[in-house]
Amino acid sequence: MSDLKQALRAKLVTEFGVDRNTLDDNTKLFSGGLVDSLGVMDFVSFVEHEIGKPVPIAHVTLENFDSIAQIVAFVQTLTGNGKGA
Amino acid sequence: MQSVVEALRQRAARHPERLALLCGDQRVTYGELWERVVASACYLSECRVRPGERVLLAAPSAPAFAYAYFATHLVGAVAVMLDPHAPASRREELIRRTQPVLEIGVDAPGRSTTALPSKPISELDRLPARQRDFSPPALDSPAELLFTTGTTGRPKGVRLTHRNVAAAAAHINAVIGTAEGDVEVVPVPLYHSSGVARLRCCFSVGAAAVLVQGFRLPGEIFAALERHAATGLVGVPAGFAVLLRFGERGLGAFADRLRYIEVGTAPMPLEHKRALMKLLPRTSLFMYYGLTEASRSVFIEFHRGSAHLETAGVPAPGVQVEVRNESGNACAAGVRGVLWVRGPHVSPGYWDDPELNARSFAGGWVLTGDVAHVDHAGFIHLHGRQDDMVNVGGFNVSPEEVERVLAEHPAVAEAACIGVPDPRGIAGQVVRAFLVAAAGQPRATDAELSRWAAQQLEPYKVPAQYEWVSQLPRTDSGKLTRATLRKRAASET
Repeated sequence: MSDLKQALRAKLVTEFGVDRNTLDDNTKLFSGGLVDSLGVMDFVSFVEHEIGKPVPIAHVTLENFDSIAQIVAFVQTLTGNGKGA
Repeated sequence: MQSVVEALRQRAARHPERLALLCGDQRVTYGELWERVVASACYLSECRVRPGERVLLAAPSAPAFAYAYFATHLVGAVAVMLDPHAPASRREELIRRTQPVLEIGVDAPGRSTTALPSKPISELDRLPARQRDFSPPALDSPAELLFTTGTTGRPKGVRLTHRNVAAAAAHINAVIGTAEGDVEVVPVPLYHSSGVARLRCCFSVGAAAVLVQGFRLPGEIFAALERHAATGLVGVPAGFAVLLRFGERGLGAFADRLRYIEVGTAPMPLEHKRALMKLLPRTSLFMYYGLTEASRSVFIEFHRGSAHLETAGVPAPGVQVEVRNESGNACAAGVRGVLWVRGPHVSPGYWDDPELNARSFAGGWVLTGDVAHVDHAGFIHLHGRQDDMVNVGGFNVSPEEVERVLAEHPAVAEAACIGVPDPRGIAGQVVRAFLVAAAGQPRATDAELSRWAAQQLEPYKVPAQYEWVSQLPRTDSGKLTRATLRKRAASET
């Protein structure tokens, strides 16, 4: 999962213009206004590409996608690689 | 005609077992809803809330919001609704201007800096059931006081009577066809006029409303549509812009279940209307034009009105519209003027503003402040706010017309235009465009944008100035606030 974390960080910095110095695993991406909700599909596609699995759209919620840590935890449940799997 | 709260009482008596409200894991039948409304009304009475007095309702969407709202109606009091996250200055202004006797709000005692007694809304869920008959409110008595978020100036307090809100629910339901058995997902906050209007519409006919906390991220809406086998969805254009990004996987997956969609409060780009039509070919797609003073007065259904998608549509049943010139006379078809609306849903006037009332209300008509024309087929075309019109060398320019053209440029995601003084001192004003860049597209130069605009617009409408911004200022309901851009431009001089 550290690969996914790194990939998410790189995407946020290069494509969404998030400041590398203020971004940590718990930075609020959508509720904090760093990523516009219009960009969410792009974000979901990126995660799907990284994990090689589709994300059920009903799971694209703030609880699952609002920070790098939440995305990684959600992906673990999706891939059976971690708690809740 | 009967009040909405009386319609709700009758629904609950006839079909107490039917679902009225769903929110997360909470499921409330009509019988339970009415029991909570009566218990809450008894509670308000014990708090000495009298007919005509104001009750401030500042809470997020939840079943208890509906209990408080209809309980206020049942005791003859007036609901004043406020965003629970509104800044303290707005909250205090509303309290100062409306003098409520009680607040029903979020569970945060001590939040208020005023002496207003406050009750947590969660208490309404726990009140003991009571038996008491309340008389239905008189149709012409005040039901609520809604403060516009305001695209300009001081917020206007719109007074609505029980007749106004019942008439609006009747004509909206007549257009959309919401009926008993429908299950509608409502992600619009209930403290907003467009959200609470959906509750009135659903409860007038026995439909169920699924409350979702806004268009934060779309998963909650898709989950609600799926989980409750919803037949209706309402929302604002900005929310649908997000949902549309999911294409066939998103709304497309509900094409065979969604019977209707209602969208409104702000203009929707043409490409989004067409995208909805493609994704949902069998769903009735309604867009409305209205104002707090005259709820949802004009509708268009995208499939049936596909040749008129650039228009606001036609008046709802029982609603009259008239375009008037500066002398106050009706304009002929095709001629621009200012739009007025009349009907039983039109507010009797603003709270505490007799001067504005004198300018805005006459003979049952309300001045919308929107520039419009009616075409020969009877469709209403909107050309922006009267206050927003730009005067370039004596020619009126509708900012919305220019914005539509600019927003079609591949490099532009959104555009907003205002008039600014012509720096050459020739034309009086020129058009300045504020642009939000489209993701992943190379930035267009001013010259490219002007060439693009000049292909579709008269020369005087082509912007003289361009400015790229990260986002456009909007109200909570998504309305563009050009006044903010005008202030910003004025501060530069």
